[in-house]
Amino acid sequence: MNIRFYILRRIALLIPTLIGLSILTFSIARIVPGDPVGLAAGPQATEEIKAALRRELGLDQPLPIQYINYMTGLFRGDWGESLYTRRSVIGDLRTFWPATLELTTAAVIIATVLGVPAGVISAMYRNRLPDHVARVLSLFFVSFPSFWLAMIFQTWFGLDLGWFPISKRLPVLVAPPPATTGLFLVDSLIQLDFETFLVSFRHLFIPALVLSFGAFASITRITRASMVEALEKDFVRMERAIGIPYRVIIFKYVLRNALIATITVISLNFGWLMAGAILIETIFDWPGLGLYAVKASLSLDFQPIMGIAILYGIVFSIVNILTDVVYGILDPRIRYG
Amino acid sequence: MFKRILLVSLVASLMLLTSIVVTAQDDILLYGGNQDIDNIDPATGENYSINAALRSLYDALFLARGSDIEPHLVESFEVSDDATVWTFTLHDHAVFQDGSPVTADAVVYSFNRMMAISGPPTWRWETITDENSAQALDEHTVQFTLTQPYAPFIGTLTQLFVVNPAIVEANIVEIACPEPEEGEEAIEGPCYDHGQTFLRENAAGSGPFTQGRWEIGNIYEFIAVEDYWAGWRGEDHLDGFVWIIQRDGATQLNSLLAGETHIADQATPSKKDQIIDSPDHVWEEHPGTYVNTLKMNNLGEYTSNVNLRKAIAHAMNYEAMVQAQEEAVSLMFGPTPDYMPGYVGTLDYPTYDLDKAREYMAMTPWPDGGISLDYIYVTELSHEIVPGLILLEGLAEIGIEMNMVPMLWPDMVASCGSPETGPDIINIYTVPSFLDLDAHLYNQYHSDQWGSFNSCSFYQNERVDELLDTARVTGDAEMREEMYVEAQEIINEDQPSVWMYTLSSGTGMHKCVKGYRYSPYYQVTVLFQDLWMEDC
Repeated sequence: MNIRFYILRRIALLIPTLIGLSILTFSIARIVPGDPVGLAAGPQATEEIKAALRRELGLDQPLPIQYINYMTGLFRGDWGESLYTRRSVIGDLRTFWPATLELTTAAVIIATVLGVPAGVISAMYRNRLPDHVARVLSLFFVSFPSFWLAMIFQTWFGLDLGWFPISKRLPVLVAPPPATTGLFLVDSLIQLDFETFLVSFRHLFIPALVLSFGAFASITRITRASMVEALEKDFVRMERAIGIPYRVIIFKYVLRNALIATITVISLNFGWLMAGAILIETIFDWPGLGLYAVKASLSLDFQPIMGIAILYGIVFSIVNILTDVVYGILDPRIRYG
Repeated sequence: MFKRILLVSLVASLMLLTSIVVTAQDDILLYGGNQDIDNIDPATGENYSINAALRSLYDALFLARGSDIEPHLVESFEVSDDATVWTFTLHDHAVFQDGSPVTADAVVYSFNRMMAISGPPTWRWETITDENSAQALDEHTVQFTLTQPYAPFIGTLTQLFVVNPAIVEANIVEIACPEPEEGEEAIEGPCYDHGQTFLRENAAGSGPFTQGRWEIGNIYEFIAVEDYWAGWRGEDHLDGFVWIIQRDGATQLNSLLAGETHIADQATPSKKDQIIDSPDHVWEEHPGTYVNTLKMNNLGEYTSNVNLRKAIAHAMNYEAMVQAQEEAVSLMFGPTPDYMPGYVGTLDYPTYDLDKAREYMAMTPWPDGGISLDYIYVTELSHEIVPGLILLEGLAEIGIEMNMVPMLWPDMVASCGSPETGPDIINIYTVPSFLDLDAHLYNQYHSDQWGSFNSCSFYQNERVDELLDTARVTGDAEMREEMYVEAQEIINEDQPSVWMYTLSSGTGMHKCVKGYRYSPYYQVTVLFQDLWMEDC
């Protein structure tokens, strides 16, 4: 099957997936007991005030009608509004999503840049000191809770050493670059504003580094395991026998074979880190979607919960499609069907 | 060679990164607040952070400053003997930030808009006003005619923020009309939003600050109005301030100590020592306005028995609870916190006394215990878990089994909807909306208020209802005080709740911040217009 046709088919399949996701999320959000309207109306609100709010938001309608109204709005680009802030959900997602995307992408890049070489070295020096160091580090990072490491890093590097800022994406008195993508690093480069780029990078570094630790551990381990397996294959023995330098064998042939599993882990990590960014965002006051999601969940704020679920569903699906495409590039034997 | 270049590049990059310092600007105060300012419409937004913003962007008829309520837009006022007709004369030089005058019409417009929207702040006036209550008598005189006498009316006017009608009218948008209720006729359109969409993120006021950068969920900048019509009260004033959202307590502290902020609000005692140890910082602690009580369902299967309620109140180890709390708290000695004017200090309030608890148990149908009660608290909220565990231990001593039941806050609110669903014991924080016993007692102990979490004890005493109703409409201060004394005595005797504590308010700040004054009012935080900075 042609790769373009394959991608189009996967994109088309997104629609039923997202409808299923929306039904599930909508049902869960509405079935959970509680009185979010009473909460949003405030502690002193009379029954009349609550009823007016319910009617205004259409929450007095039967559930199927509410769902149909929601989905109709969704396809028109109206993702509803928050019960509490009364702001549009799509506007909020636009505001908060880039910060989470930038943090998560940076964390995945750090985890990959550090994790893949660590896995390769670990496999090359199997059961020797570099391998032990890499494995202990992986174990350490996968075992320690990221919020604890975040607080330690913030206190050491931010407060005690003063090397990095404590929180936020930029210093409070520095204006962000004009928003093209919402990713400060990209936007500052577009503007050729290298000072803002560096300042923004400085703010991003520690949160992204801490967020990357868990992913680093899993990427290192899976790369090592795949490399060890690939190193025992016959083609490696043959390539060594005909005199191809060991480094060339490792980076040109073995690593390419081993990367299929690593790519899968990287793409899975992208999703996990997006969800796991909540604690890191809280500690570093990173104004992303994680905090928005927590606030919405705790207060049963229906529309943001739905919006976040659908956005994450879309992102997960796109990352999966991209991963499948990369498989084909890395291994031409793979056919799309 | 390549390795060396790589190493040198890495070290150079790290040095460059760590050497970038963006210095703070003089007279711009950086405030680390742990709550968002997600709505600045005076008709719909209400919590402590929103209030801080509203008090900076808008002016109200009266202003809470420290413990005082001061006339603000109002120059003078008169009240009729029966406390129903309130006439206010406004300052004739008060102007909105666009230069147009703040008139009586603007006050009437703001009030009517607020009541038409019927948002959270309007509960103060729902029961005492109607659509004709606010009238402009002339350009600078506004009159409120209440549907019933209401003595603490002035206290509510600190929340009546005056909007600029011209700006609001220019930004009204058409919206879909709400669906009619069953049996009602369809609402004929068009329907408008009263400017809510615009005012949610844009101010239209006359206050001492205007909006600067406004990044939802992140930072909010306020810029001082140099020629503010009311003048600046302090020796100096801020050029502006930035409200920085910092949801994590440790980050608030680190930012304060690292010099990234000047004030960390809602600071917990765990940070207190570090702030006190810092030579550049000071710690301010005051009894807070958040009143914690364990509300017992007065119509519940067991807790309808007053002797059982008293037994429970005596089984609580109050001192241990204070010691165990992570937050700084001040114990209550009766139904009213001691900072409240009209507090009765001579009540025979319950103390931790298991013998007395057993005596009261002996007067119940369950003298040996053998009953089981649910204790409801907010999931994972440690300062509600701790009192629960201490009470659990005390109740076990008198034969009562207590089940700790965590709930999400919306579920707790729902459970307080009726006596049938009301829990046996529920941990609730209430906040008096202004410094008056009406604001503290009415919503908790008047039977009209059932259905709200504030009144989750479903308490009903006809005499208390009568006293609270009468005091509400009595203008004579002495007579009101007498009524409130009697009401507090009866409530104390009936023990509808276990009186616990008020949550102390801790604030860490840099020594260079001057003019800070604590306000023991509902949702009131620092008054930025009174602050200035020296040698920061």
